[in-house]
Amino acid sequence: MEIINNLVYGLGVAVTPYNLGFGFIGVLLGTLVGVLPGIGPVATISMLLPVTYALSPATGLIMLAGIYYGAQYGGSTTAILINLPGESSAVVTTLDGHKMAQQGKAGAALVVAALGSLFAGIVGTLMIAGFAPVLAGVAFLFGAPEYFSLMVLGLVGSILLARGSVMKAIVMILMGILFGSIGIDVNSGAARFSMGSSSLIDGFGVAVVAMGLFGLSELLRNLSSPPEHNVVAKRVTGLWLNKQQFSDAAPAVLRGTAIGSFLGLLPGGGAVLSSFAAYAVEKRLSRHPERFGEGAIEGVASPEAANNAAAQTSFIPMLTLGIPATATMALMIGAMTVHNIQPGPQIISRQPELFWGLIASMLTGNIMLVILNLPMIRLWVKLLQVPYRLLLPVILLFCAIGLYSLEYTTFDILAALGFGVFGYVLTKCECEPAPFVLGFILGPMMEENLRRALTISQGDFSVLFTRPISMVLMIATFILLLILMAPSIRRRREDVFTEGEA
Amino acid sequence: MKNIVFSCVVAGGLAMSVPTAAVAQDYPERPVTLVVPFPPAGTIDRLAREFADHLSKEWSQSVVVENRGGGNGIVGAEVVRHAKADGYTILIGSSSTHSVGPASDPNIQYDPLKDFTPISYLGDTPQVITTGPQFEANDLPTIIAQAKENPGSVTYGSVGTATYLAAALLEDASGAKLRRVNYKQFGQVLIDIVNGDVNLGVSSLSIAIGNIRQGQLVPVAVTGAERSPLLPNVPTVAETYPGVEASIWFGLYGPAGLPDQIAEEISGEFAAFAEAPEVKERWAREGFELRPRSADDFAKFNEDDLEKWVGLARKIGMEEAE
Amino acid sequence: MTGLNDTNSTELSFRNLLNADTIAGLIFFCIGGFFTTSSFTLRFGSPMDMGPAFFPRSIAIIMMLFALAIIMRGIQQARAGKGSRVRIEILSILQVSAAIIFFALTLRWLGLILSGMGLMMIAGFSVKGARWHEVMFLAVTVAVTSGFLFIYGLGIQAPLLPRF
Repeated sequence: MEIINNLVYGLGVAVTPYNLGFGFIGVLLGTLVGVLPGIGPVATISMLLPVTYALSPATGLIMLAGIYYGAQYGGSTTAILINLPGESSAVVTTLDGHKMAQQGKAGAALVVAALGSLFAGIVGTLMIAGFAPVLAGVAFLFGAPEYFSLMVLGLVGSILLARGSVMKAIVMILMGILFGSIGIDVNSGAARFSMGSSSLIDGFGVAVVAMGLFGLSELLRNLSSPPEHNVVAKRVTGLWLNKQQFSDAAPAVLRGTAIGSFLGLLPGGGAVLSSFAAYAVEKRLSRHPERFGEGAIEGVASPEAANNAAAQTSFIPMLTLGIPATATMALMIGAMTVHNIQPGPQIISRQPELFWGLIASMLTGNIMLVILNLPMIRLWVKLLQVPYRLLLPVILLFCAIGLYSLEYTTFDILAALGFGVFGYVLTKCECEPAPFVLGFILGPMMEENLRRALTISQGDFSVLFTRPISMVLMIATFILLLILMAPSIRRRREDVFTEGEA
Repeated sequence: MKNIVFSCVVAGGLAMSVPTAAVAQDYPERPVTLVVPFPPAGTIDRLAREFADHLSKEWSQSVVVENRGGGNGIVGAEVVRHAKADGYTILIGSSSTHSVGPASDPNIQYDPLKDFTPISYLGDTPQVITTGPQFEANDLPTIIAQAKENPGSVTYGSVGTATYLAAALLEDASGAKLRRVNYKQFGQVLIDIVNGDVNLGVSSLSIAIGNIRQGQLVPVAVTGAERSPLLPNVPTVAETYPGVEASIWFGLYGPAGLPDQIAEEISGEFAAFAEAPEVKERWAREGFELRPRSADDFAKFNEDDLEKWVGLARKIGMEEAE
Repeated sequence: MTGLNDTNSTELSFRNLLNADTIAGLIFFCIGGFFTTSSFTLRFGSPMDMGPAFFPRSIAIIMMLFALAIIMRGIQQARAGKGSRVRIEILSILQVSAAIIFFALTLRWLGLILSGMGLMMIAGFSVKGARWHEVMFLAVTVAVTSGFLFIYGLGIQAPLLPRF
């Protein structure tokens, strides 16, 4: 079969001691970088770019790719353990992952994240191996109207992320959109809401927002609650999954993989949606949605699988079209250009050893990551049983350094502090930060695509509803809205009744 | 008697020049920072890193690249503008930060000519007008004719202001009105051209050359003064509309008041770096021509370019910020 | 003090008024208002031709409307004696802020090791049950190792030591 041939060929390239070695360095660095708050793969990769010039293109890319998805693994680890998402894709993992850690199930959470990601990585790799040319075509189906409708669906669906009041969730989303619109407006070049400050001229970075709103506000909460509480409960129940957890998580992993594999193909913003969408779908399909946000294992398994699947499939538009979904991808394209390799539709036929070698290395890379991370779980859990009064300053310092490393300005550190205080106050008021982050990321994209769609159609709104994919997405949004509103209408009727009785 | 006075004056003059010469001779004594006002991985970022490597070797001092992206280059430019003029903080500026930008971006507070010391021109890449399989017209005259017939019917996708003003320059010269569609990154332009949502693309050659070579985009015209050696069969816009030239260029700057000796030292190093045939060729393959120029030449060029774009911006009414 | 929750009382106790909904609603209202007013310097445009202010202002206005609804719900809850006062630990906020602000202000000047030590000491002493020798030991060792790890290991551009 075609897939097998290609993979065997690729493995032949990837499984040389040289490439395996560099691949290992990549995933090791990536995990380290993912665990350290703020410091992301971008900084590390740009530092290592000159090194890759000296290596063969395949080796260089294998190492860089290793850093990339290694960082995803590392980012999930901190998300679960200290509520600090290392990557924006790990934000959703904090919702149930950290809760599980607080319930003493940190081991299970970490294991399910690792295994779910491994499964998704393997499936993603097989998909690329089998269907790369076809998958590349998917990107062309999505123009501005389609992205807009997708974002709207995503935002409406993110209301599902919230546990409590729907109104507050909606406002958090709106507020996130507003904060996201700080920056230079694409269409007019005007600097919006920057208050004349050159630090704000491009708005806030998503890392600053995520670290502040999740990590720092969690720190503030822990500081005020009795310090006898450790970050994770003293008794950690086992470092593996029991039967029940496994059977709960498995279908979630499957669904997450499917969602992530698809969304990763959309270079204009699919990958960021993947973990949020997977979580929302799980919650929606679950028979006990109240469990979500309280430590439901599906709430960890699905997003983790989704974001790893998306990480793999987002290599497709990068390799076959030269379109980077993230800054990290842009760096990898740079690394290829140096070797005079052009990403594009002919890359599969012109550079087979590079393409298949890279794809196969994702298999080996994911396996190496699991081998690296699983034993480390024991270490992490031990580490977090250190009394919190000792851990807090260390975490704080690493956050501060990490924040500085993003753009080398102290402004980012202070901005994150601001978001931390903000997040702390809001969580005390029973508002949740996750919808805010989603609004922050998706809002600007939504606006950009809406305005672009209208420019192209010369002001014709109907284009959003007449183009087939866009129409489907809009109908899905509408249905979702109805589903969301139905219970609240019922509840209000109940309230009316109870009030009448009182 | 006169001889003594004369000797004293000469000696005095020499004595006064020693400090600056001493400074220049000891430069650099500590690590130098090369500020790139764009995010990592772009073409200019890679060039900066290569040049920094070269400098490190020549000077036996560490030369570090710092990416300070933001505001289309404004943030990085501001950082260097406020730095000490001692040669330890230099900027890789571009047409976006020093000519097109100041002409059209109301957010720019600095004066590109007065607040900076030009050190050396680095190089340039022309822009290219491309089209895709869905658009019938393949050459410039046809496209312009179509645009004239139906003003606003021909759309082009572009990222950033440099491309916008280049297109505006073409509109001004040809009398045709195009409709602009804005993008944040080129990838989506490619997709929209291929699936027909947008008719044309205007971008730097180095970004589009990969797609052109793979056949996804069809080059219509380039905006350099001469044809690009990468696309010898593609006419320049200037062949049809003389004077319509709009390359994207990069240059080295220091803060205002940088001592001449230091500027010359750096500029000399760049000339040495760029002359190496292997280097020149490799960058040319990407569409980027390395052209070292003296500081004076560069200053004059900057002035002229700025004037040209300010004139155009005024003409098309860009003074009014949204 | 008793009797705060006499459910038949329609008298609004001020304490109860500061519940989760009203405070959140007020914050939301102010932020929405801020964005609305800041957007007046930008062009609004029309649905067919949106200016830079169109999207943000529309969102901000909708947000303010929701905020009002949330505030009203909060007042309603307070009346019904249901809401509970939100307790915010100002002290913790001040302590963490002090540590971070110290770091941010002194990083470039004192270098990473010294400003890191400062941050860790301020943060360390803020936690209840802090012991002098633990805090100092940790501050010195972690700050020094981080300095080497981040600056030499990961290439972060920051001064290690003070630059006078």
